[in-house]
Amino acid sequence: MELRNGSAPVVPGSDYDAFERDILAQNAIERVVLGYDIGLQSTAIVHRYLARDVARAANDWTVENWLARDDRLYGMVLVSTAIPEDAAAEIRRVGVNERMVAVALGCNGLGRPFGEPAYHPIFEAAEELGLPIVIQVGSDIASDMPNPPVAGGLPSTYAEFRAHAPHTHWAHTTSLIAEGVFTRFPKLKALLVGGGAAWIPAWLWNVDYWYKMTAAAYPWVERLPSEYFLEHIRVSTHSLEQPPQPERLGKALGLIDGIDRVILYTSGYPDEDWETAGQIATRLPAEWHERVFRTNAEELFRWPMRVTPPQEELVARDAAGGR
Amino acid sequence: MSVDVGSTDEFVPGKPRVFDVNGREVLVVNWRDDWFALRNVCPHQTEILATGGVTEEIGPGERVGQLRVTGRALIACPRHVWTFDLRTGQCTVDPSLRVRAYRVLVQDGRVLVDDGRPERSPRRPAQTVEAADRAR
Amino acid sequence: MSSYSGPIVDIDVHNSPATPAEIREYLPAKWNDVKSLIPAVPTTNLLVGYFTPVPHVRRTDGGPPASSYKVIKEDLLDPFNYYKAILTHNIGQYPELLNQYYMVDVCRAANDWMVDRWLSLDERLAAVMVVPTPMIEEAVAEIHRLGDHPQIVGILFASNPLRRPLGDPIYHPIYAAAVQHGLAVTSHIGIEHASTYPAGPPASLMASTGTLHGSAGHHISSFITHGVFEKFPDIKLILKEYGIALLPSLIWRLDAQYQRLRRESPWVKRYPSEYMHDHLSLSTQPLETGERTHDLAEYLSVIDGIEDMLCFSSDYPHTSMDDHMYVARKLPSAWHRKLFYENACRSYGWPLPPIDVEPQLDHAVA
Repeated sequence: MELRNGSAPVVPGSDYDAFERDILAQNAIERVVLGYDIGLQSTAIVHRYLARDVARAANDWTVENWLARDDRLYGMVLVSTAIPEDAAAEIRRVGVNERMVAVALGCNGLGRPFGEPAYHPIFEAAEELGLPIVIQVGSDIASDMPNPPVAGGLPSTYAEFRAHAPHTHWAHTTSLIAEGVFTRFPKLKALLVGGGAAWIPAWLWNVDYWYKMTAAAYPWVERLPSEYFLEHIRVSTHSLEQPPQPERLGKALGLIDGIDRVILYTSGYPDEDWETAGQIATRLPAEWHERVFRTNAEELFRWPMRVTPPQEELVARDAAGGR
Repeated sequence: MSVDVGSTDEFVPGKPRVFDVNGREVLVVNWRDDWFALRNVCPHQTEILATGGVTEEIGPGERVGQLRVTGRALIACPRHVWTFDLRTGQCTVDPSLRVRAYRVLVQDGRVLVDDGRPERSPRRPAQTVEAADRAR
Repeated sequence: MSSYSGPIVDIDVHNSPATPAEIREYLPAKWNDVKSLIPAVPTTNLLVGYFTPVPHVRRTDGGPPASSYKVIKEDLLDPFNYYKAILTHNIGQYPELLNQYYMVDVCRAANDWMVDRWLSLDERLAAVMVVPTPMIEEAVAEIHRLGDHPQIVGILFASNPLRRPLGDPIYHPIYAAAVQHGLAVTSHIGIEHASTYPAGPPASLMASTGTLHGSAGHHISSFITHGVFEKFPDIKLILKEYGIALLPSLIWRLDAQYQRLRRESPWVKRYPSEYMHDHLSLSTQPLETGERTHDLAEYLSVIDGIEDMLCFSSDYPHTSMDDHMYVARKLPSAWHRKLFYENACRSYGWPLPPIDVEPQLDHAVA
């Protein structure tokens, strides 16, 4: 999607005016969490100290150039994961800003899924500050990383990369559970972005089956993996599946009790496949909407104490014709 | 009612033997000075439990990555290796599954399985499963 | 809840040599000094417990489970109305051997062993053949050598030394040869190497198997993007031991990419789901199961015609094997005829079995 500011095409997502028009101007939007795009791959910068400092610079830039412009905007602390102790330090530095509501993990700088014990300092810092971690498809994409973003080898087509987007989600989530991240950090939560959601029942049934066969090898996994998933993992609607019969998506997902607490709306803007809340709403049961579009996000991110404007300000805005 | 399944020295520790107790196959096993009896059918896919491994439970240690032996006696179904508490029959990896457990007493060197029925007649010996087969 | 007593085609039975000497017998003498038949595939260490032969096989005639025809006959073929059982080696990872020249001869020996020691014993037995995939010309030659044997019904990928998705053009000469002989293409788990796992090598059995349905999806999509189904319209792709619950999400996600696929590949002329319906089968084992008995059936039924893509397998004698009665209970009785024999007969080109007794239809979920 080409966004124009004046006569020159601009990088999607860099034009504040376009962003304001496309997103903020929608009356229903109360809060927006900004999550980077190609910047997530800064972790893949081979010079790991440069990678670390790019992330630091990005965080300062976000605070000064985005969060300052509208108090409905919130950010995520971007961390380069190649040096976990430095990532933890960055979380503690920037995470104290009350407009930072989550930690955005870049790609897995150590070449291993995120449950790897060496990454645990990152989760310790995140839990300490009450911040959920956010894992986004596309951060693991660098083609010269030792492992591919899609199972079975590098995909030949971008279409396949899109279709198989949840693969890294499965790898990271299994790893987080198997390595006891939620046992060590019981208040930690993780949000998966960009891999759709229809796979959730199949994946939960699968991982529970294999857990039962090998539970003795991981005694710190004290409950079924599916129980950890339902308590600690959230899944965004970005790249939500589109069955020809839309009601079948709810039917498939609804087989998991409590799934309405797991799924939450993210637009994915300005990705080619970004969707408005209205578009997503047509594919999910109406009784889930309150949770999907508001409550689950309210409960997941670390919002500042006063998150909605006081009543008198809302009245004043209405009188002025909305914003 | 007590069903006599033999003398204690007919059992090798950790090796279940199977008996017909009122028409049902029950495994009986001696493990670390204790005696256990479970229905010999796995509730998952009806596999025979008696050929599974008798083990001690491995539990979590103080920190993630550490293990410790808890002392609880388990039997692992030989098929998918799901483990069951030998005392209670509870499946330790799937809370919805449980195998029927029987109390076992040792008296005067005899191993007695309480089949859960009221005492009606004198103790009688149970047949091992092989003997029951031959009799048919 | 339903049962099943009709004819059974079991598409995944892992017969095994009693000792490596059984296969060595078919190797040229020049390899007598080479010790190992089994390649070192480190990720397989995660599967050590998984491959543990199961004492379910109570009689073994002294050898490892599934090394005796007599035992398989008494355990599976005779008691359960078996029409066909497809022998899939245990599990046939010989192509991972690093010395390609040795590897080619070992693959040939394994195939000769299968033909000589198993297929002649029982017409219910069929087999897939191991192909020395890293040496494409040798693989083609091997297919031509044995492909006309009436009981050899497929070529087996249980390893993937070239580490490319199976639809990659590099494999197409192999598929051309397979199709010439009417052989199905079989992919069995184990082909995933640590380097092809997403986000990093797996460190637990949960991790290695939790992403298996990802691997299945990419192999399937690569068949579509590289036009294998267009180039070889009669080809059948059979995936074994990946599970089946992966299908609904995969089908929806691939179909959603239809326009992109057509822009990026000259080969995509139909929706992925159409290709999959016409060419693809998956083995039911290991059957996923939800909390409630009918969860899996409900989940699968969001895809019309999904029952045309399922084939029963036991995975005898491995530790994750499925009992056919268990599968019959979990999947709708209306699907039983297809999944227990019709789909497999169509994929492998067998006449339908004579039916003396209709499969029992209880009051099961439809």
